[in-house]
Amino acid sequence: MNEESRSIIVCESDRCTGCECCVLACSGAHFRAFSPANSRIRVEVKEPMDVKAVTCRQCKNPACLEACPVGAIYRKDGLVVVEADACTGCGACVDQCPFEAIVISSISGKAIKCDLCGGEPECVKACIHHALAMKEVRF
Amino acid sequence: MKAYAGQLLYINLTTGGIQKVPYPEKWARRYLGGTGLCARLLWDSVKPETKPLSEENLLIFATGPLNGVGFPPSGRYVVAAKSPLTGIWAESHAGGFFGPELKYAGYDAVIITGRAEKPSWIYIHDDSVAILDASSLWGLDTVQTSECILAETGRAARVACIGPAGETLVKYACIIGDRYRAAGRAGMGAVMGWKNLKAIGVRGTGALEVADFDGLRELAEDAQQRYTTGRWGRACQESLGEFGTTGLIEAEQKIGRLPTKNHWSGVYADAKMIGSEAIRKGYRKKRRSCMGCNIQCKYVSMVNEGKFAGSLSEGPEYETVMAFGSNCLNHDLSSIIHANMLCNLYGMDTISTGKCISFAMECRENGLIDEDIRWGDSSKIVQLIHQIAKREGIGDILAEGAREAARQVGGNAADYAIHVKGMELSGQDGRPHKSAGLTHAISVRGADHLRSLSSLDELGYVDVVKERYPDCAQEVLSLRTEKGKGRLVCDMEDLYAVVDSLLICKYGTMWPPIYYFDDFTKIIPALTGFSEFAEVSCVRELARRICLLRRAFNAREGITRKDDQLPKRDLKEPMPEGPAKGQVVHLDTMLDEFYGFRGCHSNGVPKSEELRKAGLEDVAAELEKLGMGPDD
Repeated sequence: MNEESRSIIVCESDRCTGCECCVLACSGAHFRAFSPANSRIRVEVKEPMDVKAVTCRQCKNPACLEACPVGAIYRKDGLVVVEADACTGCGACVDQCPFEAIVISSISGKAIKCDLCGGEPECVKACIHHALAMKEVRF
Repeated sequence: MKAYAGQLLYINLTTGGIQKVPYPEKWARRYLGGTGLCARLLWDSVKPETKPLSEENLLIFATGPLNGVGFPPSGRYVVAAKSPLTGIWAESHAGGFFGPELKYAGYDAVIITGRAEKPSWIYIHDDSVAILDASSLWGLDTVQTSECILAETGRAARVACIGPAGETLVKYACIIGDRYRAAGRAGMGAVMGWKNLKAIGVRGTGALEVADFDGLRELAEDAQQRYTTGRWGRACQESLGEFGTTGLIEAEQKIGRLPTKNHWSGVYADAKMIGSEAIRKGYRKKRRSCMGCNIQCKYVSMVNEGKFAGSLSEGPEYETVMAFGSNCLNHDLSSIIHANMLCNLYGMDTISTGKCISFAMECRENGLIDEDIRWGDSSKIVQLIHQIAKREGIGDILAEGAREAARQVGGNAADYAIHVKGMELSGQDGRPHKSAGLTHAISVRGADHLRSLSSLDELGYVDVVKERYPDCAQEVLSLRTEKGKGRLVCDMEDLYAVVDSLLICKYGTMWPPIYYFDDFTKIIPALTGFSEFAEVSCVRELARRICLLRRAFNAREGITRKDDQLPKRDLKEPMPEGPAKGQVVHLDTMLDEFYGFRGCHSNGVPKSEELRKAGLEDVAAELEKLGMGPDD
């Protein structure tokens, strides 16, 4: 991870079937509960054939970071991180993210987003088609 | 309670009343959910005097503890009511995402009574439940309806709706969820349409917890293995994953069990033209899935050229290809792809629709009707689908179902109405596959395959049969003999009762035969914390309880052995060709064996002591009071 690239979860749309195994794995791993509304990955479908899983792109100049009125979002080692203790759950970041990749959790009341599961992403393990992968991608 | 959302939602469309009731733990422990919960609700509230199309009939949308949580597959739900097609027990299952979303919103089941004054739809968004005006939706097809609702609710919501066929009360109208997934059989769409309910939209932001998260996770990882590698991985991925259920066309042709010409034969000369390869090559576009599944058998099909160019939907599945294909002597695959799309858009059961059309074809062949409906006429098939959905011309008669249509046609038309208890036969034939004949005869919703069909003898799973039935393996495996089939079908009915209450899928349980009772002794406690289910006897008791309760519901309606029968074709007309040439079904010995294992008198009515043993004291008492016992 450097100023040229960072790791993100990428989805190969041709392989994706929209099953949402990744969605369940994500909320399960983070909250030990099952809830698409509390997942950091979601499936975008343009019926009937265009299907893709979407997560945070760990932007270089994150709109969420800019929007946060209390400075709870910062960048570290290529990851865009939400400092949960500082987050007030106001939702300003949700309004600004162009990828709709950050949400306010109904469980914690805080903004949640992909954190790559500390390097061993659960969504990738859950996908039987290997449509998901953690990849180092240039900005 | 873990794994459950914890609430039942009661909606009265007549009064507009909305009531949220805590899910009684007693019911969860005794019936689990899904079909079990529906059996208790329907037994309690829907009596013989209740008409299917009435305010008093319940329309239930139910889930089980497994739905919406991380065990594959989790995306199913069941619709139950008294059927307008058969007048008896009906349950109709579907996959997709609608079921889990109900639970995320906070409800394990929605129980609907009454009738709205004008076209309405229900929107459930977590705590908020509203009955809304659907006058702008009435008349729309199921895709249009879905799109209109999602435009209002946002695309994260899920929709289950009826199409025009539910509105015209076609007796086998279905409910379509998640755009293409049918709760197909027994006319649940007509019940919904009569109640002036066009759709249910649901959005849930809640979360579900299970009793043993780490334990369930291990089971899910093991499941992923079972579904993708190992003993069953190939069947799951290379057959179901690559072809959906269409691989069955070849499999049934091989054993002479592909319903052909209104179930007259089991061998179709043009089977290859409508087979799995032909479909994949010409029409298959994109693989899709239900929520949380590791088999993922769904697919989008589209017609690229010719008369039906542009036809696009999900499916067709084996049953649909059979119903409009071999069953109608129609080898025009494009027309079958188109017919599947039409039935999805109109919201009609493809099996019953196809069987009513083949009924008409055979009537015409035998001079019973004048309408020019010939075998293999694909244009006519398509035209009839429109006519049935709109109740135009002969469509109005066919929309009543084959049994009633035969009554109206008169003569010996009843010989060509291939049904049991008013429900048209699904894509199996008892003559080459004896246990399938028994399944059709005894199924609680009519000639249905999904309550007890065995794939073990059908597809020759020798090792599984030896594991499960070591003392009568040869009998069970023998496709064309009657012996041992009562025991087999009873065991399958028990297994699928657990499947249909959890709610897990028939793929992975019926076919391939991956999960069995001992597996559920681990899954159920991990989900719910109900430790009693760690004993396989408790799982089997649950199954038995559900099966007996459903049978008792029908017994109360007057269903007995006289109704557990088969069409004359299966009993009296020897299979004309193929591997099973000359075969008929000898039903009586299979019925006797089945009733013995099922705990019924020889007239098919559940025995009081069996009901009591299953903890159904109130059911036993009521049947006794009504004088329903053994024939003297």
